[in-house]
Amino acid sequence: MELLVASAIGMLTAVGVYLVLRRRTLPVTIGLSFLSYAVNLFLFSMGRLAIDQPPIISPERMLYTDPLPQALVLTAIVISFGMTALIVVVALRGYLATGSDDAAIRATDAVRDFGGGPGRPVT
Amino acid sequence: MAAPTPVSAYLHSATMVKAGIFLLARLWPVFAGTEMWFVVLTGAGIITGLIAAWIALFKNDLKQLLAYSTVSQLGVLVTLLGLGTPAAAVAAVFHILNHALFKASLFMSAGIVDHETGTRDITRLGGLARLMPVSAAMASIAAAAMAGVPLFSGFVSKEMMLEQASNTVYAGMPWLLPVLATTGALLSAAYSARLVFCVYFGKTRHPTTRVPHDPPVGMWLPVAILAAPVIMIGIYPALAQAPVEQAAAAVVGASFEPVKLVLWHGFTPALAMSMVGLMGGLALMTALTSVDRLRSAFPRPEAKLLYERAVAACVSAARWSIERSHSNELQRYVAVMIVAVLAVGAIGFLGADHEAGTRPQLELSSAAIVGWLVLGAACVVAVARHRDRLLLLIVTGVAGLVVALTFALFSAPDLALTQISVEIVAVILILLALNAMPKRTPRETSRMKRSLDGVIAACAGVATAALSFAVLTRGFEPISSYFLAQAQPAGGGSNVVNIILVDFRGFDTFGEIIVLGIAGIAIVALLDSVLKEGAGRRPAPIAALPTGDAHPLMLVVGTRLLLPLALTAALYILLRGHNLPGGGFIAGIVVAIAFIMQYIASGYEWVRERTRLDPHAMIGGGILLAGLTGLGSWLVGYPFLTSAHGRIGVPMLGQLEITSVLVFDLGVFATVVGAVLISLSTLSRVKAHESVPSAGTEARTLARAARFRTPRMAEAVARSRERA
Repeated sequence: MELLVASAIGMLTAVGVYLVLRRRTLPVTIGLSFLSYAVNLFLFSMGRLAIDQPPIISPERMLYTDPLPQALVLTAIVISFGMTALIVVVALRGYLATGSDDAAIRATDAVRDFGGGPGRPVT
Repeated sequence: MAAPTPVSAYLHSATMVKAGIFLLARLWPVFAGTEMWFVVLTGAGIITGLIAAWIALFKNDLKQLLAYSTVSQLGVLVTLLGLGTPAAAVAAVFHILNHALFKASLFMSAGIVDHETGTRDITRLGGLARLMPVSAAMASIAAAAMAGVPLFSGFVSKEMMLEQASNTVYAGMPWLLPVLATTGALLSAAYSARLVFCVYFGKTRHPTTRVPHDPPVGMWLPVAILAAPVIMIGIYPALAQAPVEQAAAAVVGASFEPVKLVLWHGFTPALAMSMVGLMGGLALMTALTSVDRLRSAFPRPEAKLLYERAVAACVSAARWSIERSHSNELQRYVAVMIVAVLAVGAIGFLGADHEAGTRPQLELSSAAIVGWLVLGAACVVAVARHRDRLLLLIVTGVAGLVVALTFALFSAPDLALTQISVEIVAVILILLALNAMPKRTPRETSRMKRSLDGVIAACAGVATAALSFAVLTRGFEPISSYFLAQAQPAGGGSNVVNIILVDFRGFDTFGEIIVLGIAGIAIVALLDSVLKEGAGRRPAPIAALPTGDAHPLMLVVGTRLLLPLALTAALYILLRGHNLPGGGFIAGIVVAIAFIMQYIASGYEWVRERTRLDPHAMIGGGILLAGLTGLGSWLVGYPFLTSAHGRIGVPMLGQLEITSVLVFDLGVFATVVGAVLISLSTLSRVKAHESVPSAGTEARTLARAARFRTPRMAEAVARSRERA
């Protein structure tokens, strides 16, 4: 079972990295979602895997899995949603403003952001 | 540093410049005796001492001479601390005291000379001892201490320093440090002698017409107060024993053994070195004119010029590397980062021995294998068909569901609930964004580049999988037994994950809901101008859906029936969160989904007309509520966010467990509802735009870009022109 979970984390990471390396904003955003899945699963599994031992105190059971990684991952899931939402909107805003969803820095933007009149070096 | 002389006396002798020495002394117990500390401090100290003493020797301004001599003495102190022996630390402490005494007197003497003659230039002064005998006597006493003349305080500490140096082997050469230390002593004797002889003795010279004389008592008394202990300690060093011992014990720590401060150590190598230094210094002083002529014959490094050249070299190196490495592709930066992380991991992995983990593994179940296969299929589709964005979004949802099921399988019901509800919201969100964006990704990268990306991704995947497997097959000692044990007595609930979130780590959660709220408001801010039909963009005609009906009746009726049910379920999830899986985060998302369903089925306008729900107010109110709950515990004298719980009897319902964290969780709930609703409803109002930047602006910017000096930028401009 451990091998299954570990390889699942690996698959999610690989897909995430591949998509993050694309040129257009939407695949990059979804790549980040895949990476979030991988990271959340990885953090969660730091408490090791246990079946039927939820960290809910009950008089019938003695064994509980580690609640701490779960608490951390719970907020991580919600925060990564917030992050995804923000990035999606940034990507959308960029597309609406420029007519392109290319993640590369365009020369015109570089001029606007970094200056670059005649004789002035780009620093 | 330029300052009035009394200020210089204070700064240069006692406090500010000694701050670094003080820090080194405080760090002494930690680092002393290590090779690095010894090599760096002793080396840097002795070199500083020699160079500064050499510069001081040729300075004509009295205050500059004294200032450089201070630099030199600080170098000596650093050397002493660097040696790392307790005896050297005692010598350092003793020398700090002596240096403070004689250097402060000398600075104030220089001030008296300046006051009386109007100049501090040694070349214009001479024979002042006849005109101002009291000042001259005191300056001579202090200078004698600085030179290390016997019976003056500096002699004792300087001899201790020389003795420590003579016992030290530096860089494998036993003679190196003694020779350098003696040279330092020689130079300090020389500049002290120059100070005294050129100003106070010889032919009487002064630039003023008025004859200088001793200043009023108010000016020389402070010098006398400092000069007196110079002689007293010089003759009877045991006077300084108590303060030096106290300070040295503080430096050295537990292993401190008192060192007797005595005048006469017998005929030791240190005494010989001290005498050589003193005599040599006097000889050097007399031969100073010819030495100076010799010195002037050689080129001298100009620190300011060196500094400016170094800065210029740094700037051009930085510019060169930026122009070579800066590309306009985000992808390259990301690739560099990922490859760098992989390389660091690989180096760590290959540089150590490994054994297989011994933790017993769980047995495979068929359900898990099916889940794994589904995930695998989703991943394959995500990579192979990612250019079809709708399909990519669907398989993302599939992967998210498998993750949720994984949480459910491995005893994390709270996580499963959160993941599954967040997943729904995220898919709706991206769908809304896709509505206004291209539905397909064009193929732009070469096969070569795609294969390379594939290799990087595969390496990252294999590495993460291996790391996870390595961790999962090893046992560990959880740090959470406290939380498990205290959940019921201190937190008053049995769902430990929820209690950690709202109670034990409530402050973290408070911060996180603030982040979520900020994200929601930022989304509104980003899209606000678009919604108001911003600058120069004209909306495209919205393509009519082939189905013809934007709001199908069955969907409308179904979602309206579901709304109260969903709200009830959310309330239930919120209330039971303390004892069973649930809580504010999950309940908030469920409520948000219930409302989003109304948006989808009946349209934004319809919902807006019928609700008084203001997501802005919910975000603000939620954070405020959570914060006030935290502040409430201040009123009863407990730290921020301390929880309280108890039982109350309610008619009809019996005993109810109530707790203050429920109010906190309510704040979390409200913030989550507000943030999710605000982002989704704002996005849903964005209509597809046909974006055409005005031709004139684009051409002007391109023309400016053409004058870019970076070749890459020029290339990019050329490319975009071709496209145009």
